Amino acid sequence: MSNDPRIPVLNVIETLSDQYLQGKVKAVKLAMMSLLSGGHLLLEDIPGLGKTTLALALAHALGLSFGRIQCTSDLLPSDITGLSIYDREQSQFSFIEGPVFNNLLLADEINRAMPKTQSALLEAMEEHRVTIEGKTYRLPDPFMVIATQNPVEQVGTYPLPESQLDRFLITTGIGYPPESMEKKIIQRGSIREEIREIKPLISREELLRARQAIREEVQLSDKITTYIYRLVAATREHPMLLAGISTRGAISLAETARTHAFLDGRDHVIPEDVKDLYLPVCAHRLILRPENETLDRKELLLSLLEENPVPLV
Amino acid sequence: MVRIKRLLDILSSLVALLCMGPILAYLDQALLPVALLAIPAGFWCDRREHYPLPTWLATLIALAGMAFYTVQITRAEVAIPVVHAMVVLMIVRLLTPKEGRDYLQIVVLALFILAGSSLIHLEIGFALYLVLLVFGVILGLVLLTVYVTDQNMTMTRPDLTKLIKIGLILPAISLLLMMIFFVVLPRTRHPLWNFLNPAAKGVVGLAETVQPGSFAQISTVKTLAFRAEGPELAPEDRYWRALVLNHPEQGRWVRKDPPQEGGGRVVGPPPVIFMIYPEPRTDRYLITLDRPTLVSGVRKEQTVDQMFVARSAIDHRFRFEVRASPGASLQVPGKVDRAFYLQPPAQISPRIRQLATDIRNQGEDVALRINALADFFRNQELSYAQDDLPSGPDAIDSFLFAKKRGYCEFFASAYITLARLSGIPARLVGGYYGGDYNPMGGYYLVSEETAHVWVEILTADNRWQRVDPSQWAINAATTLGIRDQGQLNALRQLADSLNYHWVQAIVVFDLQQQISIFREAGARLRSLRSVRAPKDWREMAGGLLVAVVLVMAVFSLRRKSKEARLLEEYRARLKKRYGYEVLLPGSGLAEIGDQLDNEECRQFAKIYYGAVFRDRTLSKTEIATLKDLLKNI
Repeated sequence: MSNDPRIPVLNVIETLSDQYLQGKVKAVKLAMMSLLSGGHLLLEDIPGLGKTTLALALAHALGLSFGRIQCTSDLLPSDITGLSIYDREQSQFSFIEGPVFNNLLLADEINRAMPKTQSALLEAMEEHRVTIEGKTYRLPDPFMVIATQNPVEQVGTYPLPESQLDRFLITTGIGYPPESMEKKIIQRGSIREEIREIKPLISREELLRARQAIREEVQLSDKITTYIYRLVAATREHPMLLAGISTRGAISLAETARTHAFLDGRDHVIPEDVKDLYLPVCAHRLILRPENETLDRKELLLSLLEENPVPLV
Repeated sequence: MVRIKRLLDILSSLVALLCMGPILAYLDQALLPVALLAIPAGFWCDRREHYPLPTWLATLIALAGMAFYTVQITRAEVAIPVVHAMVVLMIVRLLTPKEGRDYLQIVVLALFILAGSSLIHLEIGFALYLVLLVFGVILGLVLLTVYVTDQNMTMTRPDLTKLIKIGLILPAISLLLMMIFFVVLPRTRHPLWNFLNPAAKGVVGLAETVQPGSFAQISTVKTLAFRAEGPELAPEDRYWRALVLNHPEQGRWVRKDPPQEGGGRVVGPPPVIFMIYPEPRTDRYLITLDRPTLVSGVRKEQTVDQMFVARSAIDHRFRFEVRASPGASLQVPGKVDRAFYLQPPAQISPRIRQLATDIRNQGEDVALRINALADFFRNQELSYAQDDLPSGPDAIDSFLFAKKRGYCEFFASAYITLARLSGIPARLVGGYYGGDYNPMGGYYLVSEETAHVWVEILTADNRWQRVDPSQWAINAATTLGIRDQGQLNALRQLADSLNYHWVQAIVVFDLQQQISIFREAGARLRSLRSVRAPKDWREMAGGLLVAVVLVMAVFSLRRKSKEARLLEEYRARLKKRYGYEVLLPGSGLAEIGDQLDNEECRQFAKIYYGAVFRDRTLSKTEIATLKDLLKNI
């Protein structure tokens, strides 16, 4: 039983969503998937729905080191990566690591940071290392960025360029919890204190083992590959889109589909895995034509899901 | 996913097979096995993309084959060598590398070979082959248009199905149109492309009276009088008989009801059969070949002097059959009213009267008198002409002794006058002489300008015998029965053949004939039940081979995996259970299970997906389990 690499992962999801983050199962699951697939998560929602709570809870439950950046327009790249400070006693510069040197990094309101700062972060996300003053530092493994942004705010923001959006594996909202649950939450008040009490539910080794299991044991058949290709190709030919899903997007879709299958206890990917992740993985990667700017990307993808038959035979 | 090139390869093999089917029985012993082997061999070559036959050798073989079979072409045998030559070309094409136009060549060759096979033998199976081949051609053309743009393009199965469906529409529409035309066309009397032209009017070219000396119109009208389908006739037999004039009246020859003389018997060479297609005309005379024995296929009345008159006006196109014995004479068994046929015209010049007396003085023997009359015409050196004609009441006299030129009416009137005066019963016969034979259609084209008049005389043994005094004109060989335009040129022959075939195949094809064809077809179908021994095993083998390969092709195309069959069953079950189409193309099986909250559906999805997306087929036990689950849904 303890041999199954799935158990601790499921345990994290269950505990978090049952005890601490009621009504956020989907977001918790996606965050776990993002972590297991080695990608980064972008939470897109209005403030006060528990984006930060989610990230905090996740960091505690995973027993990972946690760093946090509150992005503002005067945030500098060195505020993220760290900088060298002259040590008078030892008469030399010593490097002070920035928040990026944590397993889990919460970049709150990432769209408020300057493009220069954004790109410093995004480089770290892609390369898993930072270069400061000619010296390259490896980032810890696992490394995941949970960025949040408020889609409503426009003033004083620097929207992420599409090329950088492409680096996020999954984008998701959190949404309001159901009525009964929200009432409970209101009654209980903030749970920030409780979250600090969360004991790590999974070790780093278990996490890495789960990752390995996903890579090695989950089978992606040719039919699913074709299905993913068709879904991706459909966005490239779509008349309302300027650019469709990139090859990186397709790889991401396949990888998250594997993770989804793994969490579901299967050793093979089924079309539903792909369908479930098509929206979270792909929606933010689409570039709409200027005249169709107001279109809902998710609706567009849903229509593509309906048009492309699921491979059954 | 399948590459267009591969589809084209399969299609070209099938098309080649389709066209070989009907000609298999007629191929050379040497060519037959090569042709049969070439199709799978070509397919194999395409598959491996390896062509053992070098191009120079292929070209050489094609040229040699063409040359070998071209020299075998004779007038009598065109189709078989041509088909063989095309089969050689097809074999070479199949065995060499193929690009866009090579596929096109295969398709076109297949069409030609099939067309050629219809020249060798035509059966109902041809229609089937044709429909299949046309379908193949359409499909091939569509694929080719894609192929020339992108040679590496692939096609998914649904796309292919769609293409096949669209490809089927065209033959289906043409079949439908054929059915419609089958009803519409028999009711049209004119070629469809003629619909803008005014309806054909009857023309008078054939004079109902003969009055030499007044200008007759017969020689100037060039319109078509009729077509006669049948064998080619010797020049002296091309007399087309229409009406008989037997009575002189005020300087003209007119028709009076002839006296009864009992049914005659035609004595002469064996009869030939002609199918006559008259053009609409104002009179009702049915034109026959002299001498007719039987006219059928039309409501008509027959007179004792072998005139056939239609009961209704000839104002539309139709056809009738004439059985005639060219050059024969009519033996009259009973007594002939000689007085009726000896009555001379009222006005006769002294010179003619004198001449008749001279002839009568030759003796009692009719044959002698006839010879004397012929000698007179020959010696007189009359010439056949259509201008500068004698005129006036003494036109005949002037024709015989002064001007010595005239056309058939002069010759015939002069002869009949002399014959009657000399005591030989005679009558005038009006009709046509000559006509252009169209070897393409196998018919005579007779125009109004060849209208002609000749004479029938009663010989001593009571036979009506044809005498054409115009033949004694000194220039008869060059003028009589020959149109001044000369022979029809090839193009006009072709155009006329087309028109003729239209009339023959469509216009005169009326409801009655349709019904008779249906009856015939029904009778044939009944006789099919008693299995007819095949004339030639190869004839059967060709059809069988095509049928087997086509069935195999269709099956491999239609063959569904166990998985597909199960899914179909599943889909049907769901529809039955929930009353609407649950399993839409965009939805997966596991999804459905959750949506319906149905444990069987979930189980089904789990087992099914477990096999399919592990890239393996369902095991027997899995299928059994799935079937059990289906029963419970």
